[in-house]
Amino acid sequence: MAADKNTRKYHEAFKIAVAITAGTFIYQFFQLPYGHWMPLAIAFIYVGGKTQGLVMKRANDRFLGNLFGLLFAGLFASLLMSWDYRWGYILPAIWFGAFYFYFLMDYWYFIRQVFLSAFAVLLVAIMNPAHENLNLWETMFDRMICVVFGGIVLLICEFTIFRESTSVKSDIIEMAGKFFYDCSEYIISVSERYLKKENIRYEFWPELASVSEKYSAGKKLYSSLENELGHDITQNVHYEKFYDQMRKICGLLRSMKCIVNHPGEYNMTEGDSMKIRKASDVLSKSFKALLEQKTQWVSVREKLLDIFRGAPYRENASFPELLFTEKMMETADCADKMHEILSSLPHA
Amino acid sequence: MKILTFSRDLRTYLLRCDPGLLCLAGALRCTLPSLGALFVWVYFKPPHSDILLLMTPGFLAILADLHHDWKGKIRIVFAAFLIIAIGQFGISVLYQTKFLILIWLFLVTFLSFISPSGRQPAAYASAMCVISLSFSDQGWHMGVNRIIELIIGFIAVLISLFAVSFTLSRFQMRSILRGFLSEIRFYFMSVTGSGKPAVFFARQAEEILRNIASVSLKANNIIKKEEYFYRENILSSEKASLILNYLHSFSRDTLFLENFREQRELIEKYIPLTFPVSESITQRLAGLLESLKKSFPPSITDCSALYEKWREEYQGAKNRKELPPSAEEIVYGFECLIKDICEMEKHLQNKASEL
Repeated sequence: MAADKNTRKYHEAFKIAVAITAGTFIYQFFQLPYGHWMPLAIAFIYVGGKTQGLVMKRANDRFLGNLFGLLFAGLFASLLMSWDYRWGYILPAIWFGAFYFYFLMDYWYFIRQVFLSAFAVLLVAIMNPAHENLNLWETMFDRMICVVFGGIVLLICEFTIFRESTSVKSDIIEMAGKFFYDCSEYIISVSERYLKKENIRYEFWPELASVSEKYSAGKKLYSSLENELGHDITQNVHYEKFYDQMRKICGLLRSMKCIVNHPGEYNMTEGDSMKIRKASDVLSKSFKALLEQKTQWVSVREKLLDIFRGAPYRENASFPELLFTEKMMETADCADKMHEILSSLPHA
Repeated sequence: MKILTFSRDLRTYLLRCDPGLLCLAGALRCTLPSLGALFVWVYFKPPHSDILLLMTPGFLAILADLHHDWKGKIRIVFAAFLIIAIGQFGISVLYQTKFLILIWLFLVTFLSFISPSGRQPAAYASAMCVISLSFSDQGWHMGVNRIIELIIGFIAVLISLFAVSFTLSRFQMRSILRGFLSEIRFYFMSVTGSGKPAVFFARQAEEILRNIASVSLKANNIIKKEEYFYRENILSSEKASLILNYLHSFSRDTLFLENFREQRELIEKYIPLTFPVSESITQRLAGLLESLKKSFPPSITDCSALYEKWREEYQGAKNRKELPPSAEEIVYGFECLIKDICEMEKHLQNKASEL
């Protein structure tokens, strides 16, 4: 897996280097006015992320962002700055606004592009005396042409050179594997603490956070996959179900942790403890089996029911005890469903 | 008056969108070095200075967010500056041979992307190197000149990182704690229907749950993961961390209330005191929020009599086997929440002023 990842890194580096060099070649050999905007557009699109889906979306955002940004710059310069040059003093505010809204809108590339392209044009006009009387509308048009060409070069490179290197499909598999592994470890530690009647201290938090973080990262990868060219949209239903199960598992694990910290009365016998231990072991192994993608699958719910044989519903059990077992059963259901979903995904 | 109301609403809205002031801190980190560079440019008028001086530090300050420790932050920003310095110097030297510039650009981009410094500094640095293609003044001496400008920019980024961390970190910690608690309270109000009805229907519970998860991750990043440089900030993060633990417990407790709406009729019928109890929890959460806002111990109202009656009511319904397990789960969630709120109130009695 490590070697494979390394190869992908080299492929990606080669692809980006070719795209930027190709953009520079067109700019230098065809002597396009503002031609450096072409490799600049390519380089800045790659700044945001390597994944193919993101690149596609960003190329689109870059085009629209530049269009609106340059329009804003043109209007600002011709209507306000030509009337009173002191309007230029608000440029730092534009710069601040660009980043503030970029972060606020969850790194929405379009917003940053609108502000920054406006800022860049206005700044060049102010800083270079040679550009003081430049025709902003004309230069805007030239810049837009370069951005469009840059986008075209980038997309050609993206879909002809090592196309698989920036696809997120293998990342999704890797992330899901890590998620299953974390779940497996987590179940064992929570159950052990439950049986030892130990309150889960806060140093345990990173373990739980890591499960949730994997889910969030996986969800982001999926949103990138949706934008990939050639992605089969009929598979989206399975992906949605997959992430829905991931979310449910996160919730169930969090509930289990809460029960350990609020145990109520304990009426467990030695036999009950053994059952819980066995069940957590089965559950943990089932997640490892999902990770290894074993083809032979025996329903985890059935296995757990076999272990408990009605025990969760015994008369003298306290409600938290029942609830803990119930959450284990629900997690088993999720593992079963997860296996079903995984077998319906072609590249899983 | 309208302007005042508008600015207050805007502030509330922005705080809800950015509870940890992360966007504000990020934007400041990116603006301050550029403002510093602008100052240098306006007052010292360095000869042949160009747009690179103004834009580079601002862009590269973003990279610092990728690491939580100071060494990592400095290392990643330095790596990017190094790549830009080498890249633009090569372009300046080779400006007369277009073919060699292409080879140089290819090599710089390729090598920086495969270098151990990682993808992000390489991506930013490549973009900045490309900007240097547009400079009218080229030559090795101009390359050296820009390296000096880049060193100034690097220093400006470091100063900005330290300054923003020193001034904003404690506000960020307090703000994210308030944001986290207010989201939990909002969720509780929306599932139980306590508090103002306008709030009840304002946002879907699902959406608030997503917000809680997102705020929880941000809080963890700001308070637990971030390695602060200044002693005051380290102490504050330790204190805030204790409060954050309670908030994490609250968010886990509320998970048991997911089915409240479905079981509402049953609860109304068999445990009607659940509604006054939920009102009291809402008020106590509001009290905790106020305490976090003002760094003042929360006022504690004794609700034990109400809770006792409610427990008796629940026990009666349970003995009569009138409650399904999902309704019992809700009662359990309430119990967990009450216990955790009590613990946090006790904690804040002594520690609220230290925040």
